Amino acid sequence: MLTNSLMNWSGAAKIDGANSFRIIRLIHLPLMMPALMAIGAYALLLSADREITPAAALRLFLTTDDTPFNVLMATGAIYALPPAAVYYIFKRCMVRAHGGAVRS
Amino acid sequence: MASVSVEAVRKTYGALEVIHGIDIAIPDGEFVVLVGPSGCGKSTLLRMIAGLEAISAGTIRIGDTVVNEIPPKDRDIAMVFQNYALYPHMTVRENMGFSLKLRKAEQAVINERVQKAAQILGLTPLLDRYPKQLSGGQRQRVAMGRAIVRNPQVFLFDEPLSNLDAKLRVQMRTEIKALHQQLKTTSIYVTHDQIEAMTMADRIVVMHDGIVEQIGTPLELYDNPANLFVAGFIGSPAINLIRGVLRRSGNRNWVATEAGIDLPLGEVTAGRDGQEVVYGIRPEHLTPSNGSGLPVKVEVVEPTGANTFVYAELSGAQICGVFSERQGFTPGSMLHLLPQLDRVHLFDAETGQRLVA
Repeated sequence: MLTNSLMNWSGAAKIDGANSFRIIRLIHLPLMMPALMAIGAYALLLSADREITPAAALRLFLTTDDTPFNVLMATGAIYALPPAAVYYIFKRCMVRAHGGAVRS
Repeated sequence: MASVSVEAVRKTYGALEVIHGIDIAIPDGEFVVLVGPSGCGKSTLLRMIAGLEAISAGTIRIGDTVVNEIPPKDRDIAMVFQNYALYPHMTVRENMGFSLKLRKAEQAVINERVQKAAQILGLTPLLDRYPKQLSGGQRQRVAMGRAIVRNPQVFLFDEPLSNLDAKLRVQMRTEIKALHQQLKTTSIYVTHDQIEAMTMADRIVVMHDGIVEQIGTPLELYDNPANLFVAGFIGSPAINLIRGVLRRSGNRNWVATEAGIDLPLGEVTAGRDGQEVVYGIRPEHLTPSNGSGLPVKVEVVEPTGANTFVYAELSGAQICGVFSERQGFTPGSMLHLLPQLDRVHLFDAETGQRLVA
């Protein structure tokens, strides 16, 4: 369905007078924005888990015999906030997808 | 506006040839419908005229210009796609003005043309909506508006009504026809629906397996189908076709079927005695009679209100009749049907070609 639609859009844009570069910039890229946003958000959230040091540092608490659960949970909650914020911001972009211009 | 001529056009994909040399001449201002079953090459031919598919051999002319090597945007055509192909991220106004904007037309000109097209199509109140906020019929109209603003030489329609529901399709059919009468732009319209073809076309091109079977006005195709394929494709319910052997004896002619039924023919007929033929009679050219005529056993009765469709069995073969009178046809009962002799079509059983007296 997606390739079919893209082909039709390309055909329509070609007849309308757009060259390949403009078809990508004016038609394909705007239509791909929601998908690009989604991929971007996933990439960011995944890297937040692995790479950002404060999150990784949480694991240090688990090494000692008497784990301070209250501290662990408090820090965890605070560090969970940025990814959550990112998630909710990007979600708005993702669901603002375009529909209805083609029927498959 | 311009004429379009297609001369000996072929399309091959590698070793596979899908269009085997097609010739069609379309005069200026005509509404031509390409019709045929799925895979007959009609959409491919349209896309070749549009410039979206390369032409493997032959020539396509728009006006006096050979367009084989000209890119779509310079062919001065506009195309309406089956699934609308509206740009979802643009409003109706932007969608319709997109081609003019790409051509660097002045904003004032764009506004004026879009306004005018919107007025013709009744889209003025919807200009600032996005495609997703429109109904199917409205989207289809925007797709047509996008074509109209260009004021092209030729309109190309690729099954534009297939996605609409039955009622809307009938309505849009009339709208497109009225639009053509108003604008008088040469139009090429592809469909697989023979009713659409019959109702809209000035001339119909019937295609099958990459060749043209027949070109003619709707009534020419209906009254004088050139071969079995066209006879079977045009008309709903489909024509009754019964195989048999042509018999000629003095003034009397008839077709003898294997089951031993004699199908009546007029006094003047083509073909020779003993020739294998197919006897064709349209359902609406059968009349119920008392006693004389073909004895059939009624199987299914379908009242449509205006007409009654009767499917019956004639010694093993199924035969359909359409009658405007409301007679009490009951399944299982016997009925006699009289073919109108001047409406009988005879085809050669081997070649499928029409026999002409």
